Amino acid sequence: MTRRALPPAPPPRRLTMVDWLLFALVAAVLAYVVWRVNAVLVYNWEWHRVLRFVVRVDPDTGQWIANLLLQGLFTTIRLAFWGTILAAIIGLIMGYWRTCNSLALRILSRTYVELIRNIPPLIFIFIFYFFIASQIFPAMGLNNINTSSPWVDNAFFRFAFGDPRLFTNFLTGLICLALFEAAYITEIVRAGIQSVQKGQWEAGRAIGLSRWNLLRDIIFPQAIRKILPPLAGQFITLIKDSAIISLISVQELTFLATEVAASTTKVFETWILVGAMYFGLCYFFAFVFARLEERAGRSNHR
Amino acid sequence: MKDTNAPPLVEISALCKWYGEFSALYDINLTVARGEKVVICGPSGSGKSTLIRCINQLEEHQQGTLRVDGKDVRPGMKGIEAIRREVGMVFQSFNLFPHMTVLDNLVLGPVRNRGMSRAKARELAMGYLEKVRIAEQADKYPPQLSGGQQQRVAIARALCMQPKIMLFDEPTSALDPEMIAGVLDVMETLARDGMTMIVVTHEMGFARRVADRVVFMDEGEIVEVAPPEEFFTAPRTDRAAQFLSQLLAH
Ligand SMILES: Nc1ncnc2c1ncn2[C@@H]1O[C@H](COP(=O)(O)OP(=O)(O)O)[C@@H](O)[C@H]1O
Ligand SMILES: [Mg+2]
Repeated sequence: MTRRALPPAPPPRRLTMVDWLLFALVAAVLAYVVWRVNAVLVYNWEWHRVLRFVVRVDPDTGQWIANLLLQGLFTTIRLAFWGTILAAIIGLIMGYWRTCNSLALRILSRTYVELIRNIPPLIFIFIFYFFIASQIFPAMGLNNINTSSPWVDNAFFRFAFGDPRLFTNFLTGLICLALFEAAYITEIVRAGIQSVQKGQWEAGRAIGLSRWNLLRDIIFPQAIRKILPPLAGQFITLIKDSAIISLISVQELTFLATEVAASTTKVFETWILVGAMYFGLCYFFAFVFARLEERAGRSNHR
Repeated sequence: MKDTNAPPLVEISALCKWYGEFSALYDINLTVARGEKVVICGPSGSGKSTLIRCINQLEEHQQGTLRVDGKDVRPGMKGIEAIRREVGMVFQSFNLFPHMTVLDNLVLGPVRNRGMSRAKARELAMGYLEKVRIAEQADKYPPQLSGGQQQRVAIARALCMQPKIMLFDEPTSALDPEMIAGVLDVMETLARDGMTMIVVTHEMGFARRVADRVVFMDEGEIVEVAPPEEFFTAPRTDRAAQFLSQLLAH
């Protein structure tokens, strides 16, 4: 037997004349915009005044430390991290309730989803803030946490949740954000569960699995694989949506940027810089999720 | 060999089931003794699947009584899992778990339901995989196997729970012709080993070789019950005769 020839190499991908034209057009539009801004807008760009708020030199130790904007970015990252975990847990439970046999649980989860999806986020956040956070947290004793107790005043706590004095503030924003995003995750999870074939449920029941084992070993693993792409998209949305909780004074990136913009009056520099920070953060997570999906895809022998 | 004191494995009496207003099963009476092999046949939509799915309560009946291994089975009952563990089921469309290896498909039941150690369950599973002659595929994923191989894995998965009775719902209907013999072979070996079986199938050769009785269903009722030779050569009812002539015309 002679070995069969390999297929011919595909032609290299080249930019065509049309592509170049398109690029040129976009570049021309951009150049025009820059020219307009320069010509019409008399603006004194002073990037250094804003960049000072990213890092600064500590006058006591002479070391570089994070200033407001970087602190805000860290808080946003913390919110994203814990918010993702919390929203995933709520979304998983609610998403399961959406599909389960109990009518009460179905009504409950459906109501939750519909309420949140049909109220503008801004208004949900205000309602949550005024009624839940400022009424229930104090009742739970969360407003007077002893910030010097060893539970709170340690390196891990500071790393994970930031300044203990701002913890209640952070928690308010976190729960608010998670509750909001979890409504969308709920629907993604529901769709994932319903996409698993009926035969899989039946096979699991037929070998006598309990409901919990059936969900854990058969339904969820298959559902998660299918919903990974929309889930990743929702987590990135969560990072972007976190900006809105600046309205209830949670000291994250957008809130602190507002303060920086006001105190320096360098509005353009501040928001361009903050936009770049958000872009970097979201793009990084999009990249991570894309890699995760690739790996899940490889282990998915279909 | 048969334990004459033990109750029959399956006792169905006056069982009825509706889907909405549609009567899917009506006044079903059937008793299956230990070690007995029953083949169920009948036209499409006659209620064959519904009947065997009632036995492990994948479908709930609404009237009549059902006893499996002497235990009352009621719709919506607690502890139905315990009864399902004694009843193996093989589906037309295999329904293997695609995200687990073949071996893990088999190990899952014994580990989760019987609290068996993983090592012991693997040993048990490999034994059954050898029995269905597919041990060399243990580490593959189901979608990588042919239909016939998948169905044999599905049989092994059911056997891994060491059930008292096996239900088969048209196990060869979704298979390419050249795959059918392998699956029927495995089922015949199982029958020879003394397993109690209820098989929905139109494989007449299999029914003749294996069945103690053939149950013929039409429009949700049991129309005729007879030994296979008698049923295939001289059906007593017109409906059965008509069904058989259509089957042979293929
Ligand atoms: N989930 C269901 N809802 C409504 N009707 C059903 C359902 N399952 C089966 N049926 C109907 O019940 C009858 C018997 O179905 P089935 O037991 O699958 O027949 P068979 O297996 O003999 O082909 C058919 O007419 C079918 O359309
Ligand atoms: Mg059927």
